[in-house]
Amino acid sequence: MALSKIQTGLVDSQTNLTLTTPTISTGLYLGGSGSANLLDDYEEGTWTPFLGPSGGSFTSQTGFGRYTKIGNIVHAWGYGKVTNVGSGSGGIDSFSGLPFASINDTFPAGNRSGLGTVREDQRTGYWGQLFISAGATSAAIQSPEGSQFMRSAGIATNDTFLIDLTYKTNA
Amino acid sequence: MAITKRTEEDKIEIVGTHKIIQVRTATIIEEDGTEISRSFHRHTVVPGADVSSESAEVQAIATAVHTDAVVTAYEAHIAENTPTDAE
Repeated sequence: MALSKIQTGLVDSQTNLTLTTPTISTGLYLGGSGSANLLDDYEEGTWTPFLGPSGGSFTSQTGFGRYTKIGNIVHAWGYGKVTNVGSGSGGIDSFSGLPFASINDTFPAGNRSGLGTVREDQRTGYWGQLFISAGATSAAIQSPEGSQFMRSAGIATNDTFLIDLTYKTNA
Repeated sequence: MAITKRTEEDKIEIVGTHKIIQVRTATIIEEDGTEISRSFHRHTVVPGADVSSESAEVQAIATAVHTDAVVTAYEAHIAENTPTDAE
């Protein structure tokens, strides 16, 4: 163990370590000593989701979200609210503004780094799936069962979309 | 006893083949110059994004790394990997 990386509060209690307000600058190996066992990052914070309409553009929108990053996994939650629909039309196509770039893995059916759920929570109750694009900071919306709800159900001022998603990053 | 609040971009990273810029903004609360709280807000700058509201440092980085070739490649990548309802 590299004790020099632990600045304060190390107690060895037989088989487990109790760490009291430590700062570990380069990571902690858990369950092994390989690179796959290294937990090297934890962070909590906020981010701002941006809604993308199927057509036109919104005059204004607002949003707020929180994230937790554990190792290479990001869990992000948040909402986006259309405060003035302007020329926005069709429905909601996508979200952008994710706090970390997603990993650029390749899959046969399309490159994704994670999935999530979105629900319009103010007027319609419609929901959809979020596909986090690989190597990007945005998520595309696909409606369940191939229906068009989220993308063509119409959009109005005050529509509010809740987002919950998990994805991988290499940041 | 003076409580002060300030923000700073304490981490700017260039990530991945598309050179996405990750910016972490720290909000720091200090009491008589001693930090008592720090919270984070993150945003990202993708190739081709409007950077007019970014800090001068982020603008300079975007100018340097988001070349026309990078922007073109990123836009093509997003277009190729955007699902449709038919998928």
